[in-house]
Amino acid sequence: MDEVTIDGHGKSSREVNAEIKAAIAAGRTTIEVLNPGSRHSLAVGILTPAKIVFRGDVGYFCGGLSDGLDIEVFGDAGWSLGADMMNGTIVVHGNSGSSTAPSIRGGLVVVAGDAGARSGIAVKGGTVLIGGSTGYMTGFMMQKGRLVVCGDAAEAFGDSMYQGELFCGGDVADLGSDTVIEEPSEEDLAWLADTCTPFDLGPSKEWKKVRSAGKLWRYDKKEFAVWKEAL
Amino acid sequence: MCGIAGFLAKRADVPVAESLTGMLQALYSRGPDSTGLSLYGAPHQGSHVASVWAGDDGGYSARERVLEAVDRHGSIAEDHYHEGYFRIGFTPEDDSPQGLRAVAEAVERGSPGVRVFSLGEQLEVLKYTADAQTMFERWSLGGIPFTHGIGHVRMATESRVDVNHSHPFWARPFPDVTVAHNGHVTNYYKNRRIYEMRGYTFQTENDTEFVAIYLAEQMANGLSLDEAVRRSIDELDGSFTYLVSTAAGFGVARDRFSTKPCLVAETDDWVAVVSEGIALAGAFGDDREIHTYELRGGEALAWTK
Repeated sequence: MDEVTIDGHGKSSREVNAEIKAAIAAGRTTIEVLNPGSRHSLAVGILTPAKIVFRGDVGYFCGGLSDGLDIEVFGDAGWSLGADMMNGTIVVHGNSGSSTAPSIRGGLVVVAGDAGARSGIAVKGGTVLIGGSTGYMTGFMMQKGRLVVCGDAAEAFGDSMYQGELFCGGDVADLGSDTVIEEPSEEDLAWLADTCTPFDLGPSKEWKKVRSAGKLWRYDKKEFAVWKEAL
Repeated sequence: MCGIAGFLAKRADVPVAESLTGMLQALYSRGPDSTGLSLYGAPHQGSHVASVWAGDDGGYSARERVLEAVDRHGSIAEDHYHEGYFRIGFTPEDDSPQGLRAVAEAVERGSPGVRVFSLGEQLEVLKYTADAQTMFERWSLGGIPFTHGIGHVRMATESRVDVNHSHPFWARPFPDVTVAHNGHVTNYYKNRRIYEMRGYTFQTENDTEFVAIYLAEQMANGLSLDEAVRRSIDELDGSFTYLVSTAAGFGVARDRFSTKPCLVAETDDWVAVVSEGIALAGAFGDDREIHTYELRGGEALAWTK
């Protein structure tokens, strides 16, 4: 038997995580966690691939600092979902809080509902897919990878991003500093379809692509006008 | 940090103090310095109710002076003293904000450790340097038919740690208005001076006290709770998620940068606003499914009974 069920009811995050790690160490490949109760830091720091299913809401940092996990959350997630994840997949069927998927290095983070402010902050690789709308300053200081919002993006979308690509299927309230908006290419559209279809997601209107304008990449400190214009 | 929780029951049999206590206890790690509650709707005799802290000067003579002062400005219908707090049901001679200010100042005059934490027709404020469960038990809040309330667990950053500087803050002298706040309002000091010139008195150096008086004045000037919280987004600077409560209900506002957390949950039985989902699990059990969403930056909402 490679499946096991853990009941989080009445336990601390540390106790639940210890049980998850013990199950993985015992060779279980699918772990179901009942009653996660919005506890923080669930399934953090796990580097052995396994499928972990949370039946309920998870708190801050779920799946953070992990490598190769396949996490599914049947509920909502708190702040910093999958923080600094190296690789793997996290799928949240509800909403997520602020700074969803911050600084991820790879893998895929999917939020079927809405995500909060600063989602995808400093992403360094991988893909973030948001089925609903997303909050203020999504994609802030992004460095690599892709972030897709099927619904609307709030103000300062992609603010001060270095590289990477943002896609928005709804309305962009306001572009962030030093970004440009453009039509996605045929390749982009094909990739978007491949990425969204498995989760029954798609644009609420037409896809738009946002990337860095590059003006802030390098400029002399004497060129104050460049900085002023880009901001 | 700091944690906040607001709760409004849509049915009479939904417990308010119990729910708020469960939420604040779960948020304890966000604010271990002190806990505070604004609770509405408990029956009392007289038209108004006063919450008076006499715990720092609780000698018999100070307590006598509290009652004498209230009696000079109205008629006391009932009074109870327990663990530092007076709960006084009374009918003031003048129930305008000016009249209530006179009551509060009379009570505090000559008794440095005595503080009026609230006056109103429905509002009672309880705050203490302890956790929520301890307070719930010490002041026997179970089974009281409150209609709604807001609460706060404090990690002090703006001013000192004591009962007087704990949230929620009453919008003295406006009856029934309090604010609990997570964040920093950066334009409070300048605004406070302007309000002082208009005759308002501030009891602490805390930014939240300004927010309470600002909102109460807006509502006294005719704005609805809903309009007041929306307007505050433009008029307050800084990072904030605050809860404001009145006799009619409560509202919430979050700054445009969304720096402080704010989660909203609404069922057929109640509406709750909390800092983190773990608060809902703490109040209603970790095995109950509750749909939540983050309040967007720059948004404000209000609910009334």
